Amino acid sequence: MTRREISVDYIARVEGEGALKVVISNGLVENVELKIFEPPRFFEAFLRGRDFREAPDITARICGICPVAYQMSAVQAMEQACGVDVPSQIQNLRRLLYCGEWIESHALHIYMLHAPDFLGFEGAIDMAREMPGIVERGLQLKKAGNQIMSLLGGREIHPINVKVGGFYKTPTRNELQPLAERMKWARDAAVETVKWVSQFDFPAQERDYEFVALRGEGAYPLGEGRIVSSRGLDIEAAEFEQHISEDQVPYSNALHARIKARDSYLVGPLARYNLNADQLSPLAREVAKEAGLADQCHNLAQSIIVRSIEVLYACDEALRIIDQYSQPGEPSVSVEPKAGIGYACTEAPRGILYHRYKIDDEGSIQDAVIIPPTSQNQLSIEQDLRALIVKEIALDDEVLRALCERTIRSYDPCISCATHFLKLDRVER
Amino acid sequence: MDAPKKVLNFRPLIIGIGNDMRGDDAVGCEVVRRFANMASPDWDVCQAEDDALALMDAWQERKTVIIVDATQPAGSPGKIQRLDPTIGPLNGIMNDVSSHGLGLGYSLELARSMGKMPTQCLLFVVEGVDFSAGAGISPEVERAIPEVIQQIEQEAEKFVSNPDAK
Repeated sequence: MTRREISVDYIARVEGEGALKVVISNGLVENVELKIFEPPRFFEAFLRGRDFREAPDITARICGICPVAYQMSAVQAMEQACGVDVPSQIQNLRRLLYCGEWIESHALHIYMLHAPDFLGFEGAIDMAREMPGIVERGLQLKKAGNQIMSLLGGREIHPINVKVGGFYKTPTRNELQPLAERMKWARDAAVETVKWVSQFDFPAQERDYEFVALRGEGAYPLGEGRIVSSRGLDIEAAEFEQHISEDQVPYSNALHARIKARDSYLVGPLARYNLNADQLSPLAREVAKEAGLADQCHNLAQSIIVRSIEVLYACDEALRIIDQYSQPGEPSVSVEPKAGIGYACTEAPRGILYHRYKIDDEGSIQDAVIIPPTSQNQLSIEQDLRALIVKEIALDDEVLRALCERTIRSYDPCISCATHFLKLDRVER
Repeated sequence: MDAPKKVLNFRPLIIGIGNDMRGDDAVGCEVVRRFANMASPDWDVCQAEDDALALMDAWQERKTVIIVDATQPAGSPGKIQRLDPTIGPLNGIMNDVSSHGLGLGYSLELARSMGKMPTQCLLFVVEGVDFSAGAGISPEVERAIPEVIQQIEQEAEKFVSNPDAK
């Protein structure tokens, strides 16, 4: 019996800490385990007994990269529980804030974490030495996203201006104008980004994924829409747990999500694009077409192109919202607590983020369930890695390890959020 | 397509890095707070996240930057080290593995790669002993704060009186 073991102690260039263990027995892949060893942080338990108004600020602390996603899912779930609708002006400002997070998060991943894989650099530091102007563009693009976050959220990380019912303070039209000038530069930089990444060499890395994303009504989805899939799923957020289960696995602090009727599924930019390409802005569609990206893209490695299209869309959408903006009369609507359950699903940069809260008639949170995108992708990541290793089993450990890490980075996993990630142990027996 | 233009600011910037909620990790924050209370007209102070891009943003228009941070325990709590990252990589000083990855060592090396290292840059580190969540600054590190402030003040004054100093 031959036993081969490959291990990666820490996966590089991902958010958070995880490991991978692969066991190969007599030439066959026996086991692939993606281990998320960041400790559990018990946010769902912290929320019990807290006032419903505290959920957006508490849950924002789950992640320094996508705090807006947590805030948006939290406020929408609470507003649903209390039977409150917010005016379209508030919804548009929330959408603008979400655009800022997408630009910031995607630019970081495209330029600092993922592009070095395609260009033969060990990381962004080496890449910056050879192409400082490109890296500078990435940093400035990210900063443009940060500026939206600062202006609307009160600060770049863990915004403090979001509340159930709206915002604590809304900007005047004049206050948004400097942002428009910056976003015009960012939109041009995003077009250049699409052109740059679409010229990379992409390995054929396709699997028969079930894509799951929100389906927007007349707009590419950020904070609204029904949950749909490429295999017919079409549900409201309130039906999420009827169709999707979360299972504990002994080797990971992240739960594995799967569609009950089938198996793994994929969330994130590739899923959003395949289910919503027709909803992109005319400019984003035109630039995607020029980059050679069809309305359907099933190659995981090309997710970097899709991410860059989403950055372009977010810049374009931000400019549209700023152009049409008029300051609401009140920054928020009053939300009185009402016993009930609220559900919401919004599109974090890495995919759909589900929240469910049960509150009592005084607004005290009785129960909370939060399912982040990386938990939902974990099973799909393992299945991609298994397919890769089966195909490339003859490669030596070092090359195979690098390919595994590259596959994982294509997902832009946020391990800190999932904690619920890479050491690669390859065991051959 | 050019990125937005920058204007070089010659006032030294003192940057404190750390987390007020993690024991001795708060030393950088505490040092810049005390500098802020001194209200000197000659330099600026700020706190920054231990994140590469935020740090590069903080110093990108500055010629002179002095950074203060805590280091991991190594048997000499409160020990102060003065390091000059403009000379070369600070191997072994900074651990870049954090929950969100890109820390001070990363930002200094990224800046070096891009030719964006401040012309004058010093790093003062204070060795911590207790980084527990919710803990205050340890007595050993507390005792080191006046000394590190004095050293930073001397360096900042040197840069102000001689802008071309190394």
